[in-house]
Amino acid sequence: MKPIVPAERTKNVQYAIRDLAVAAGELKSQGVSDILYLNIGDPNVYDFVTPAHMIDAVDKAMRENKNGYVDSLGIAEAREALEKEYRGRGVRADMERILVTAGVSEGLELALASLVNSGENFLTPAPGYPLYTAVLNKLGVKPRLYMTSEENGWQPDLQNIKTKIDKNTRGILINNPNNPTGAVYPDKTLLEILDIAREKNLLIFADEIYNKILFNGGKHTPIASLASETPLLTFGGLSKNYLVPGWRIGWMAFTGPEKTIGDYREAVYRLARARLCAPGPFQYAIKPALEGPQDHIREMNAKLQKRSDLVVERLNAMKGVHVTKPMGAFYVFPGIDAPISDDKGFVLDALGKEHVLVVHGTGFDWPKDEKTHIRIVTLPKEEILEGAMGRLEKRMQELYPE
Amino acid sequence: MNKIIPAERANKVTYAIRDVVVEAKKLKDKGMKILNLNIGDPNVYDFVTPPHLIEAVQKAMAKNLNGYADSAGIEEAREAVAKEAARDGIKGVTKNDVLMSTGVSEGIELALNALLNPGDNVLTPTPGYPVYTAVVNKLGAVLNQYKTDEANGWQPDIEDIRKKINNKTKGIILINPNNPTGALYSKKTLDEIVSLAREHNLVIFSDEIYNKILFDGEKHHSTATLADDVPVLTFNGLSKNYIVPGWRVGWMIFSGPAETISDYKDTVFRLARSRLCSPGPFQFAVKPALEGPQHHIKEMNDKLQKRRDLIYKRFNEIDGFSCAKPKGAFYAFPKIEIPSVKDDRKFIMDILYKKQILAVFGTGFGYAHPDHFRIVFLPPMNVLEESLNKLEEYVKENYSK
Repeated sequence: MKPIVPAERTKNVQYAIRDLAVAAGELKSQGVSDILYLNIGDPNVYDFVTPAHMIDAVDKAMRENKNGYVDSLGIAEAREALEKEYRGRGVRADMERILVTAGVSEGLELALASLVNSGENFLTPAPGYPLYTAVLNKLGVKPRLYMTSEENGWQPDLQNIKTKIDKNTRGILINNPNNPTGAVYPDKTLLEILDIAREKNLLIFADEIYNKILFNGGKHTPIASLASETPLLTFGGLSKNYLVPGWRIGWMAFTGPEKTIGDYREAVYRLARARLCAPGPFQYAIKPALEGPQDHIREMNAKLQKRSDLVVERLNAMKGVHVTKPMGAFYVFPGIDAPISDDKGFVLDALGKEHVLVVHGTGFDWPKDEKTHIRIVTLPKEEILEGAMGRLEKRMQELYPE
Repeated sequence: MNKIIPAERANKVTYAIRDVVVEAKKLKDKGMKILNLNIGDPNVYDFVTPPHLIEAVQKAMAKNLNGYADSAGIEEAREAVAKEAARDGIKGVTKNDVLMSTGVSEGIELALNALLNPGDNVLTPTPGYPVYTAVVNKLGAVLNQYKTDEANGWQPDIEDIRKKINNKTKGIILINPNNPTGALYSKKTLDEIVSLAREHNLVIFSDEIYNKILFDGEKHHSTATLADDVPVLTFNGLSKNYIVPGWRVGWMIFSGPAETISDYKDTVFRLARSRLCSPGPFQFAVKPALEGPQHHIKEMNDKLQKRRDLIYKRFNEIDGFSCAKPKGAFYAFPKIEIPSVKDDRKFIMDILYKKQILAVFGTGFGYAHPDHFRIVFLPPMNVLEESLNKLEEYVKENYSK
């Protein structure tokens, strides 16, 4: 039989963060045991522990035989808790406008599949979380990137956004707090994005998965709290704030006038029904997570403050490297002045020679012709970060031998 | 701002099974008691998840295994699935040929997304589980439905399949044991389908999610065991056999010659990386499920066989219905033999409003004629008896000669 030929649209589907893990896996299988992993944004891999009361809630649900299919929108108690949480933050979304999904990954896929026809476009940020363009490519929609500006604290470049909009542009995504830069957007930025969206009829997707992970004085405003009359999708989840990325629990809230957003929301719900439901038992952890003790967040943010300070200081001290101070999430996105033509090659080199694993900027849709950047995760303990900084210093010394 | 218009592909997506629930909810909200014969969820009835599965998940969470898992699934789960495949007679499968997915629903989407270009088609059975047509529509591919033959125990109609294959056909989907008919495919049928696949370069997608739910001592044949020179994706999961549909634990097994499937397999795994992973903690229940105690399966099948016997007998006795005998899974697909009933959807709404029985209309499963409906025989005997009596009343009250 002839070889099976994969579909065309899959050629462009990449996910650098995980693709590098394959290279690290090969090194490990060759006996290398001292790799320092600064590549995956997974707190559970480091010294962060899932709050026990959430695990108890899931245990209880399973023992009560709540192991069957649940409502396609998500269990009522979870959506009620989310309605309350959003109301407390100035966002009016009643529970019928909230959908629970298998991670924000699934949510984005449902939302984009229900919105964008091929031939149309949807704006996503550069640098940005690569899942956005992966999903667009999966749908056969060509990604269209808008720049965020390093000189301006990695805020969206509004002039650049305006040049990217045409009559086929359906919407724009902002990720705040930001992966990979750690930026947190002030209200002014959010209001300007709302203005552009209103003027150009764009649906805003706000990925706010890191919204409680804040330090260095960072304050997060949900964009939906600034405009109830502009249609908006706000995405969030338990993964990062509540230390359970492996559970795949996310959600989206639809806000805006019913006559503008109602049909679209029903389309998303139709697609949601066709995949039945998100995993049931974990949804019983949403209410206890949102309404129970929040101490672990304070502790996490205190740790991250120290760790990001360490990393920022060490990086800025390296010749040819400079990094913006993050205010949220757990990443930094340093720039390297040396002329590196292949940032992935640079990263694989650092992995092979120094056994330190970071992720190349082009893996975050950072344009090739811009200065090289890499993403470093600031989750590991100080000792590991110190060790990693030392190894990166060695790499930089090779780039700038004196 | 202008109204947001949904994408074309979203307009074509329907899912009858959940869509009727919306109607029933209106009655429930008024306080009426509904006899639910619509959803294939054992947990809603008197079936309990085996405790050792729950313990395995509890243990994983307590050990803080709550982070992202490998995109292909955790190693011990994939190894357990590979071992089970070998026990079933599928040759040459290692853990590297297994991908864990968030239910078979997600698995099918990944597999078809990796294969179908717009304008391509994949053969899907009618009647058949509606997720397949929903995914084909979502991908902008073309529906190409093949008949299954009620007179022949709902086996796939091989001649019809042969007629429907064209140069844009990339694969064929089998659901065995079958939802919604309860058919169990004979070795002869499967051999013929394998031949067609070989002749026309088709990938076989064999959905075997109900493969341990069997009656009358019948044996299930896993398609991939019949030919190792044809590419087969075998789908299965914990949902039905192990009574945890809400956990969304599924998997797919790639078999066939390496040079035929390797690019395609790599693509599916690459698409899987871009959605990160399937829920981690539940994957720790796969090995205990497949290798631990299996007695709940015999208990489940003993219960279900009695319930199957009841509905098969009664549907063939009641004037106005007939029904083929289900051999596996927990569904029956009776025929409405009332001449003046010409619309299965209206029939379903009528029995819902007049007798508070909730079933699903046959055309919702892609069946070409509006004269069948699907019921589940998961409920206990007394609920099934009550439902059958009410259906008999309904026919007498509305269609007496």
